[in-house]
Amino acid sequence: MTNIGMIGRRSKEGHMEFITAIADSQGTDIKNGLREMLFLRCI
Amino acid sequence: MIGGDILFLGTGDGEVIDGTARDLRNQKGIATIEEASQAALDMTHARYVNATRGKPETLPRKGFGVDFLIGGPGRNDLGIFEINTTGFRGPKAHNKYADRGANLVELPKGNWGGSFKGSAWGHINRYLDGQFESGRPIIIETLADALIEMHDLSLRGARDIGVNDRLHYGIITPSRTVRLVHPSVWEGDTQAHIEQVVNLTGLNVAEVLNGMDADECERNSAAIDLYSDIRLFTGGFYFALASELTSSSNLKREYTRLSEKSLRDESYKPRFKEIGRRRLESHARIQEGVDVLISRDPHKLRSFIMGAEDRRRETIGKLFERYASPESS
Repeated sequence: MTNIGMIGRRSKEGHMEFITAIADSQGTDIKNGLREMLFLRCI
Repeated sequence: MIGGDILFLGTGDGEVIDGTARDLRNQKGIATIEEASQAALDMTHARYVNATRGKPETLPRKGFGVDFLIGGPGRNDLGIFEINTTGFRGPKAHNKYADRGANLVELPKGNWGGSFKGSAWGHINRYLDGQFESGRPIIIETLADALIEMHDLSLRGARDIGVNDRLHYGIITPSRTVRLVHPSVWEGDTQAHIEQVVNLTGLNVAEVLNGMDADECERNSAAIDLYSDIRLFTGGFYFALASELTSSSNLKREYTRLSEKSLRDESYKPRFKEIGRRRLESHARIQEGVDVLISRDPHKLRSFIMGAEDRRRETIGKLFERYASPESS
């Protein structure tokens, strides 16, 4: 498995000021040789 | 907002995550997290239907939970969606495929909130519980606060057997989204990797780097050499920021320890004050790093790296001045 997270801050007025994201890079598919998959992507 | 500002994170089966990320990238016209979330659900459904010969409800439960987090510009504001693509939540057998869906993470006004997914969640939750129980609030008012806490939370997550500590950082602001990838990680998708590198540095290198896949020696070699140099540059920035985050984490712990010690022993008070000052300095340097990252200005990026190099050189110099024996000739 892996570890991903996002946290954000909402202002007193109600709008989102920012979000930070974090991800590790180890996948579950060791058998497929995908240990260093990148799970944080911009789309 | 345009595409490229939405961050997609996944946990679980790597093939499903990577395939969905690729499909989302290739599907033009996705501009909001609402659209991205629905597309991710549609794409994973098609994938599961295909894999189970039309019976996705028969997906194997054991070891097969694929969740996504999608953050970025939404229809009205920035936001975060949690997406459960299988309907499975934990080991209980009563969860059904029909329970799959997207859920907007509600964040309180004037405060912070968020979501963590994956096998490391238990470690993170215990750490958070421990912080609150010991009376140490987690205050997030600035991007530097958020990055420091994310760094600390993720290192607790890395205690999980299936999780490493090669962290990738993402920052989403109303003006732009940036991500900082661990230097030793290479994305399977060359084009996506090049875009990430170019986006980070702000250098005019896209044309040369496009030769990475070229079947022509001169172009290919130039691209590989250039990438190697850029990796030194971006890696320098990554480690400068990561090193400052580690310092900040150590100072935070020391500050908490000294708050207890100085209550009982006056002689600790000056040290307590000093650590508080150093903590604020470290916080300011992290905020500078975040601002540099968002600026996409190669000159500022270089200046941040050089500043960290200077501080490191000075520290090592002092260490040697005081404690190293004279060098033998």
